[in-house]
Amino acid sequence: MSDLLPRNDLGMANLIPVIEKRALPAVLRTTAAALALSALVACSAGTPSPAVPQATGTTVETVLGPVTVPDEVTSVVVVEGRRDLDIALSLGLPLVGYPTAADSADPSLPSPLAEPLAAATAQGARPLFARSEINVEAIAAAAPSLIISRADDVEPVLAELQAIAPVLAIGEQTTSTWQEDLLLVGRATGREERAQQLVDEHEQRVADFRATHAESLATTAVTPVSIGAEGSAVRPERLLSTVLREVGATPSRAFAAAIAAGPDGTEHGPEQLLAEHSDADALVALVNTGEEWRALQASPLWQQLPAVQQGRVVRADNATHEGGPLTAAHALDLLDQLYAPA
Amino acid sequence: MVARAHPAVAAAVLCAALAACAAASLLVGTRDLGAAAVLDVLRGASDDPEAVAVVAGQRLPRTVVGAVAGAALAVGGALAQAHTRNPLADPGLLGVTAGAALGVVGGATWLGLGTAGGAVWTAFAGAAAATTAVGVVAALASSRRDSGPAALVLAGAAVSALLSSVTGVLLLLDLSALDVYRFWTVGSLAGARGGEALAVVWPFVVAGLVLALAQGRALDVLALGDDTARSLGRSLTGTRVTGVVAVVLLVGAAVSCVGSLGFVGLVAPHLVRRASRGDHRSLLPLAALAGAVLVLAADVVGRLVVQPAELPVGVVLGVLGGPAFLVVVARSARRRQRRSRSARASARASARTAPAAR
Repeated sequence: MSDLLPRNDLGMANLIPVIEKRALPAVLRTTAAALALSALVACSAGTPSPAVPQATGTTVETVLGPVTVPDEVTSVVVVEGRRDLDIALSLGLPLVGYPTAADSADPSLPSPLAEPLAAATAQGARPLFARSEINVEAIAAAAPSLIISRADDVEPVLAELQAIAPVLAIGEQTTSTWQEDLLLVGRATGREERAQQLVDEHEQRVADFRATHAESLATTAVTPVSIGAEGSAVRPERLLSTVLREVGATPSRAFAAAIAAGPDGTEHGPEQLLAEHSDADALVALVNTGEEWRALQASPLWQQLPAVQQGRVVRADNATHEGGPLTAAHALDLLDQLYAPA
Repeated sequence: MVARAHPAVAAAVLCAALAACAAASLLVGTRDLGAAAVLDVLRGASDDPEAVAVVAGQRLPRTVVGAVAGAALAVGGALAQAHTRNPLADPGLLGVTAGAALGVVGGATWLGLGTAGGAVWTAFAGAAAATTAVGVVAALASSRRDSGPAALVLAGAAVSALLSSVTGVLLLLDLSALDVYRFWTVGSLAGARGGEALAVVWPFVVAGLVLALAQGRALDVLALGDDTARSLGRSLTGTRVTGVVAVVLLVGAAVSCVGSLGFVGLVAPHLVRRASRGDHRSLLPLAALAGAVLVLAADVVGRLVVQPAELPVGVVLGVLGGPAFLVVVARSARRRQRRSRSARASARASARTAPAAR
């Protein structure tokens, strides 16, 4: 029995043979073994595991405190699966694990991350758990040298994850921009130059977009609106909304109201679709499933919208709500379609 | 008022309530159109395309779907309570809801069915398969002559738990099915899905209602206990199979249209039980009316409380249904206590009179 127990500095496993030699009753032996095992678990939870060496490398400040990232990051696991995944793929980090998520409920709308993720998967990255169902054991089995995630997701299991690898916590729509998080991860992983290059490329593309579509941007009132059976919502902090604001799009009445309302934006029932968006000359329709898209197109209220009647609608889904440079580039591609001359 | 009224009076009151709820459902919404505009649309005299789209395209279909689904769920609940002789039973207890949910998720995961039309059939198939499984398990588990209802309840709970677990596993493996599944878990009258589904399943609702109403007398006899029912010449197996088929038709159709609306099947029969005076031939139609009123009223409330957004009817029913469920439980407990006190008093009276008689 003692062979099955890991040995540690306290020598707790050695207690078992001693107890056995005294030929205590089976119940006592079992109790002693359980106590010894509990002590082992408690000790291992309270002190750093010998398998995780004291980290040396670059120390960066995150919302969850300072984190020291090893000089050489050989394997990365991302936990949230959107902004963190986008940043890891954009920086070319050696991804070994990520959460599974519906790339898109509609196969006709591939995720902006689909291609780079497929390439990473071909290199050995694999799905570890369903999004929002963090599996610490699966992460431990992937043996990452760095874990990257949105802070809110990892905070409840931070101690467990830190026992596996340094946890680099990043923000989200309401706390930081993807550019800030990209630069943070770049600085932590020795890829600061690449991160800055990606930010510069995005800014350049935004500037080009402004120049190319200057007239249309000034005269086209636009709304990025999520639509489902239960109604519509405008969220000003979603990535497509922030890109629209970056390029200087003219907000429609509903978009302006959502920006004024704050991060949660505004919601309206299905009956108000026409009344709310009748002043929009163009719409970015965020519709998640093919079934909902089909039903929306058959809706008389949708058909009466001026933007729909003029054919100035592009569709995206929840894969574009959050992300980094890859998703932002995808958003700009969509907006290019929206603002392109007829 | 309905609770103690004569069945005919209760029916009249419920019909009036249904008419009022239907009118409110047509007149009230997040888009303020005004009564005149709504009436113009209903008379076919409107030249406002937005009003036509709102009233004819949204409010009218959801009113019809809500009334039909509410009636079907309530009758399904009354049947479930009668067959299990359990006042706290609802159709979900027979595995119908869990089966329909697994059918929907399985259809989306394995067959790629995301449309209302496709999901209707998988929901139905799931409901039928689950209820059949419950029936088979209950039959195999019935070791005592009078254990039928208890075995049905236990088998239903076990099969529902199993199917819910399988649904959970499928959702974990295929997150894209979540969007499709979300509708069924919450329960909603919004959107075109309900109307499209009802266009497909209405024959099943009619068949289920006919079967249920034809069972009224048999359910009265069944309420006396299995042995009495048998001695009166009732075929228990035939009666139960017919009841379960009716429940599957009614609840499968309702769930296909509006998703899983909790508490309607449980609460609606209790609202009219006293007015029916123990007669299932009155109880079933009264429950249908009460179910329709409940769902329409909840839907109207859902359109008003978080304006300009809406709350799904399933959420409103959950919020209202929880307290209603507690009231039902408390009333059942009080009734049992009264019956128990009455039985003890009778026993004491018998004990006092017995020596005198000797």
